[in-house]
Amino acid sequence: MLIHRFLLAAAVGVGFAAAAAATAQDDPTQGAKNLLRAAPFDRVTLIDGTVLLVDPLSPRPLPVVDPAKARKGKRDAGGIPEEGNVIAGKTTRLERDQPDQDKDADKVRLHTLKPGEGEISDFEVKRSDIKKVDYFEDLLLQESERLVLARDFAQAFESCLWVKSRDPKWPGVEDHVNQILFAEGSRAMIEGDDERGQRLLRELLARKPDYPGLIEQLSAAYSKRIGRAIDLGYYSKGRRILHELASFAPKSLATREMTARFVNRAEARLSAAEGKSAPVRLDAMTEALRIWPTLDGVEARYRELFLTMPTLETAVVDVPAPLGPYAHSPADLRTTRLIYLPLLEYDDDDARKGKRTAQLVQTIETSDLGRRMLIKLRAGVPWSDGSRAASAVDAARDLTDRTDPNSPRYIARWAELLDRVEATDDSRLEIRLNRPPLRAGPWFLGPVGAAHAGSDGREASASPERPWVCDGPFIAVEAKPDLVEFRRQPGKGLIRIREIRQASPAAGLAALRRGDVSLLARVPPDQAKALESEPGIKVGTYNRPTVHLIALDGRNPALRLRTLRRALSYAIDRKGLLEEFVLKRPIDEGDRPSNGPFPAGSYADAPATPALEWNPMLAKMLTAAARKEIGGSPIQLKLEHPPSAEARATVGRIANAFKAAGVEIELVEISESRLESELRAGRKFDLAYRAVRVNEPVSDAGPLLLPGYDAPPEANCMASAASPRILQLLLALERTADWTSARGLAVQIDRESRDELPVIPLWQIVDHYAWRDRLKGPAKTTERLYDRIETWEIAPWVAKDPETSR
Amino acid sequence: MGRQGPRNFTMTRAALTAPLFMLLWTALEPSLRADGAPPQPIERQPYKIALSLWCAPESRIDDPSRDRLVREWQILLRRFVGAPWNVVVEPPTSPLALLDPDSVKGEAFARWSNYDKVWIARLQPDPDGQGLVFVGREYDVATRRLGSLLKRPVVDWEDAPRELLAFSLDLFSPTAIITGQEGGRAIMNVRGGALEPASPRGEVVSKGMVFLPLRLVSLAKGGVQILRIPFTYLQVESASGPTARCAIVSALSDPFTKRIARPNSLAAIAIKPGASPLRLRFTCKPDGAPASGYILTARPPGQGEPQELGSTDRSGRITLRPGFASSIVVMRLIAGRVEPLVEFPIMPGESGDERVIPVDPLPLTIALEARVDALRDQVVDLVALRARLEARMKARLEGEDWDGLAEAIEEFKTLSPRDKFAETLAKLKDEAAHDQAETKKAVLTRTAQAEIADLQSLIDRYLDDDMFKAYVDALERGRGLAGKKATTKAAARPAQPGSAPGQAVAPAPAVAAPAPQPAPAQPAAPAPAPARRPAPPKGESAVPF
Repeated sequence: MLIHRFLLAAAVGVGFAAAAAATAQDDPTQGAKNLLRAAPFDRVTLIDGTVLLVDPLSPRPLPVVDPAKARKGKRDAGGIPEEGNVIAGKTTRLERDQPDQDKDADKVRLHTLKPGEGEISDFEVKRSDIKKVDYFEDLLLQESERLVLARDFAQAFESCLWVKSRDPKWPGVEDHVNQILFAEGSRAMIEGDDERGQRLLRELLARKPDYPGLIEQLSAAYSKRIGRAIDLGYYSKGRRILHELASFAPKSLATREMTARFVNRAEARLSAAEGKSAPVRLDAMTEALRIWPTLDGVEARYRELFLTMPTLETAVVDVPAPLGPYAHSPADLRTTRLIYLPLLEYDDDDARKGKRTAQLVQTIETSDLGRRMLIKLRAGVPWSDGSRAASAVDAARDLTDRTDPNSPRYIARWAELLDRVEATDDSRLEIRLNRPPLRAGPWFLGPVGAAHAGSDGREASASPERPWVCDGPFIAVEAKPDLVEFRRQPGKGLIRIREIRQASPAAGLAALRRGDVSLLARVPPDQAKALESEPGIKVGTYNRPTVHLIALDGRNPALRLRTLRRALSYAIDRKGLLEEFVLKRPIDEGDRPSNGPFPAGSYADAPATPALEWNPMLAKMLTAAARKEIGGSPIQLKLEHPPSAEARATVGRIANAFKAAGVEIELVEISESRLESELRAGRKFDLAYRAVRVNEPVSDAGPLLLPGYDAPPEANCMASAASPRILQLLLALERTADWTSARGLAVQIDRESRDELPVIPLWQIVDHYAWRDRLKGPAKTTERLYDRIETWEIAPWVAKDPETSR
Repeated sequence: MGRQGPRNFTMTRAALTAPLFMLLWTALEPSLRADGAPPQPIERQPYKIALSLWCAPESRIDDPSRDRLVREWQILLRRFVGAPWNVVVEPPTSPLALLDPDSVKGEAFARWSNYDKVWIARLQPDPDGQGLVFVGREYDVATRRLGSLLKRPVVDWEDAPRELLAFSLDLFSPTAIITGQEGGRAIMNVRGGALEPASPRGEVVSKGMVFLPLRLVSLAKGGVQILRIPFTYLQVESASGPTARCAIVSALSDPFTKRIARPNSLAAIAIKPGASPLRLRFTCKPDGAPASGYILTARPPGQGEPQELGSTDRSGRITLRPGFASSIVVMRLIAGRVEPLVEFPIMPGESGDERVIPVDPLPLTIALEARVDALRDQVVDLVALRARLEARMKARLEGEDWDGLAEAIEEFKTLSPRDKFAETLAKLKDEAAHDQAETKKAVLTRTAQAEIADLQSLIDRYLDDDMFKAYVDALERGRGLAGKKATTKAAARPAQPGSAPGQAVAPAPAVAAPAPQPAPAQPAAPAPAPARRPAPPKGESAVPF
């Protein structure tokens, strides 16, 4: 006992010293960071109030000791039981307790932290002398509470994590984690970071669904997100969130409210279209079902109405602007055939003999080495305004309009070629050319507008609503910046086509996947393979690759410098960009870097032309040389590009490469139809990213290498040729009258373009389009998107949520 | 060969034969005075000029205002011009007032043959500006030549008399007789040149004026044919009284040739830049196809810097706006990058009529030059890469980084060898010579030959492998020396116990081994100094780095 008292006194003394040392030096309990960094310790408070910081005790936590019980137990252990201890056949023994063990259990060994020099650091203390033990884990948990109040959730969580790493079953650690999750999740939502807040709260939901206030908090957060999705028109996403909400709070007020909001909106859309025309009602039903697919009774009505008016919705990144009887952009080329019949459907013998149906020509006779053409037109092709049938007058006006520099249909090459056009009667047309053409057919593939309509193809009247005058299978009924609609008389097949402009190629893809559209005009190249394997979706291929290049305007003196053009070419890592950012897979025969303007595999592709090299060092040196040539001033250029997937993925990196070479680049995104229309009209530019599908190299070479090749003379587009040599070859090609020379010239242009660089070739890509299997008719390969559209059929379909289907 | 001879040009022959041209003789030859006094030499004869000034109704100038303008202008004439001009102002009702300067023809001036010159001027609102503009033209009776259409804006009505004076000075085109040639210069005797003007502004002839030479050919029946010598101008270099010494600016090698069958003499009339657009059309020989897509440049006569004017359109035409140059320029039509197809002088705004100029397009030459250009690009790129590698090799050598030097040398070896380019160029040249012999047409023009020679010198000068070989030698020597040094050091180093595991430890020698020789401060066998890079060419180097 004396020894014990001595030890206690010593311990107290040492404890004071240790506590003083701890306070004087670095108190590990000061601040979370210190505690997290500190070596683990426990805080022991003795009955005399002494506080000791000691090495973590063991076992943890100490078993609870009841002194009275212990005393009783000891008494019991040493005595004879009441029923006696003499049993027949068994040796009587007096049970002895284990005095050493009891003795040890009553004491705790303490190792104080940071004892003073020469001081004792190890003590044995009786359990009864310990008033309180603050375990390190509890200290951490207390610290985490403080940190939560201070909104330092990361540190708070770290504190709990440390506790869990020391003892996963430490009492209270799970409650603290839950508390942190709730506090942090709630805070994140207050701060507007709903995604994070919901993630945390959902984690808490998985851990402890009955956490007080959790459901209410989570419901509020989900309601907010759903509301925002509804406001933005992301109904599918909103419903997905609603389903999530319903999964944990099926009968909550929020779930009911949000469901009602969907339903109300869908019904409001329906009621807004009540009493309107069938197309308007169909669109309203389609949209209502997109908002809430299970709207009572609507699906049946929708299917019924859809069957009377099959509607194809196509996702595009660009719509014709303006829509009219001319082809200035890929969007025009895609749509004009829907509303205007060309003179010839294809440039082949069948078309010239009138064997093709989607054309105005019945026969073409040529004489005088092709300089004179007698065209007989089909009778009975009515204009949509009902005024009369398409006749030779329309064709004559169209062909002469193409020679008028003030007309939007102007084509410089045709203006130079045409001598005169004469409509001998309603169905006969005589064309005389200034010289024998190489091929006259390509000039007759464009749309032919009505002679009595305005130059924009609309009815020539003072009415604010001037309908288009069309003679194609469809008529245009609406053209807005984000939507173009075509319609035709009821019959077999499609009645309506709606081209809906998407904000991005990815948005178009998402719309197809959701089922909002049934046709996607162009699939991003890196998605084509993945899309092929998706159920309900089919993927087709355009039969000619698209050539991607950067057009240059030679009216900029810097770009007239061959040195700079070579520098720009050397700066681009074509293969790397194509593989890493466009295709996201290795290149192949179809998708590959270009070494000239014409696609590989075409007759105009010069054989044995080496690839265009990537050499950043040479690019830098050549740029420096170019700067010297123009007097040392910095070279600043503007690169305009369409919002296509390839352009968006690469132009930033191309600009960086140019910048590294010493050329400052300003990027400008502009819609493809606007960019192409303006470039073709001869607008000045510096650099323009273009994607061009080359159908016939000899005919397309000029506009491919010089965007303003067919622009009116006032635009001075001849001067925009960065390479005079290539311009001379192009003009020579234009005047060539025999195929052998023309092919030779085309190959020569391709070969010399590699050195002259009138454009910076990038790569060629095989384009894909995709459609949902509710649409029947698109071919696996095609030249034009809407080829043989008269045979296409589409079934009504409502995109159901997977949760609903289950 | 490539520059097509200007003698091939179609001469625009203003072949006018009429008794009226006797007037020219009488005007330009010393004439008898009415009083029987000796005839006045032409340098002392003033110009008798009729002026018709018509104010368009849109200009809101009434007759009194016009009269006041004329009066004030005449005062200025006396003050600034004086004796050389004898101007008669036609009344507003004169038939001349009905003539449109823009479309008038020479025949309309038949009634005014008793004058030397007739000026028709109009004052009308300026379509391009805010005020009024004088529009007018001179008709020279003796040569029956209509001058260029001229315009002069009048911003402030108060300045109208002064502007009319300036306009008159612009209209006035003195005539002269070419009396001979001296040192490649033409000597002219200018009519009225000996008359003292009232001020220097009234001088009949002055430095920088441009004259159009004319050949006056006596015809068999007594008439005179006036021929314009095409694409030839005389620019006054110095004037001393009536005598002017002129530089001959011509596309012809001998514009004043004596090889003319009939008696003839030479005269000249001044010409000034006009307000008409200059319309040119280039056609290809022999088929007359348009020469489209070719670049037209202009430079002042002599050694001026050429300026690009534009390119010909699909029909081979190019229209140059008035005022693109202030005086005579030498134009050049360029095919490909540098090949000149034709070169000729011309006066801006001289005439609104289209002039057709046939050229030989030289397709084989242009194709050859394109291939030479492509080859030169490759050479230039190679020179740049070699320069970079050479710099690296030099740094490795100086740092005695033999492995790095070897690596750079290996990289150097992967570059295209010099011989490849030399062979390709020789092949191009041979092919061109072959084509030339076969087609009997010029392929290796002066420009093409210069391009080839330039590229050849580029290859010779910059793709020299001597420096590379020097580095290879330096590497071999450097490595040899390094090996020797290592051996010497190993021999000199005392063996350390356990330094070579598995080997017996040799006892330490009783006598210390001789100390190794200190390494020389410089490499013992320094690399031979790489051959100095030849000095760059004096002119514009084709290597841009």
